[in-house]
Amino acid sequence: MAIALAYAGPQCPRCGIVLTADHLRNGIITCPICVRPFEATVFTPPERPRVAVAETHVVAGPVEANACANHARNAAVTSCARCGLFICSLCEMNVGTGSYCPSCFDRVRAEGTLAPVATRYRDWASIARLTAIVGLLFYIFWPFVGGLALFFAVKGMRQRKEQGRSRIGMAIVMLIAIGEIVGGIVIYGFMVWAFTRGIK
Amino acid sequence: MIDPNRTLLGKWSSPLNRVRVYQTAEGLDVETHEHFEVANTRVFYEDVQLVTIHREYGTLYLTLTGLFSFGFLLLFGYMATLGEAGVVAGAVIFIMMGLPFTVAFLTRAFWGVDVVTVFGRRSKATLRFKFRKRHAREVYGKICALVRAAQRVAFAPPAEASPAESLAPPIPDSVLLPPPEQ
Repeated sequence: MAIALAYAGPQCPRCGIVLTADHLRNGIITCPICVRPFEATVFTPPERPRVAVAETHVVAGPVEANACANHARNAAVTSCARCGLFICSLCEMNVGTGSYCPSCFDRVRAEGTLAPVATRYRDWASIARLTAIVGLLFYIFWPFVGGLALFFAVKGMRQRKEQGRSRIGMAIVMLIAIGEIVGGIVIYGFMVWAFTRGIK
Repeated sequence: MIDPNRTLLGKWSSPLNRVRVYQTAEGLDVETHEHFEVANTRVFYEDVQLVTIHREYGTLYLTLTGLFSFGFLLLFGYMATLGEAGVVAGAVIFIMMGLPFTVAFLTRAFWGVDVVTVFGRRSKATLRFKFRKRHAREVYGKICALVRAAQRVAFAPPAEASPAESLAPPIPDSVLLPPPEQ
């Protein structure tokens, strides 16, 4: 895993030193540390307006509806997919894979198990490509390497589908993997045949 | 979630990682492939504080490629001085091995790499262009325009909210509310 250095705002693109507001201006800027120039356009995004949300976001439900666990005055609209807590529309965190209460959402996000909000994930397509191509060099292990490549390719295919990306590359990897499996079986079969023929 | 409508702005490979930068409606998506992991970061147009462009040559890159090309040339020169026809012909292989390093050295030394960097509040995106210098300038202008437009829209003074747009819907009479606490 790469070490992520803390980002502290606009820097000199050449040496990485953090630039203070005094140095930020449109046009050619010379870095005060490395004394090398670069062209810049400065933007001053104002602070986002802070919107106060009323704590009691009352959602009308049936009379016998359950109350939200966090907001007693709100009717629960669903339950958390992880802990089962009744939650109102104010608490509901739904990113397409189910509704979570805020605390469970934080936990699954920290664990990295919530795919839509994960910022780091394994690239199965790369693993499948490498396994299939490197596997070609070791024909003795073709059935095993081919099986492994096929497994990774299926995962890669699923990942690409979820991301809405092209799956042609993974289809080619699958064909190579199947070829390795079939080729390996043929080689093993030939070896067994040659061995038994040699004994006779 | 990956935006299916994003467009590739630029890509860059180094021995350690491969970086692709995409343009989306909200900002720039930076996809960094590190071995077998992919890390996604995003720079929102609304958060951009600085956009820069500069040309760099890379001292380490130039030193390494220069050393390798010089080394292979030296080997070829040494073998060529031996004078035997067979050895000289064999020495050509060193020229062939040194050629990619020489080409890499010369292209970098003459053209350099144009780097566009976008600094946001919490993250940054870097785009590198080896040969397409005009395209680098276009991307720089395009990003500046997108940021300007997004910040103008996002931070425009809010219009008066009508009662119909209020967050809390009216409570129907059928709902029994607990008595107000004293």
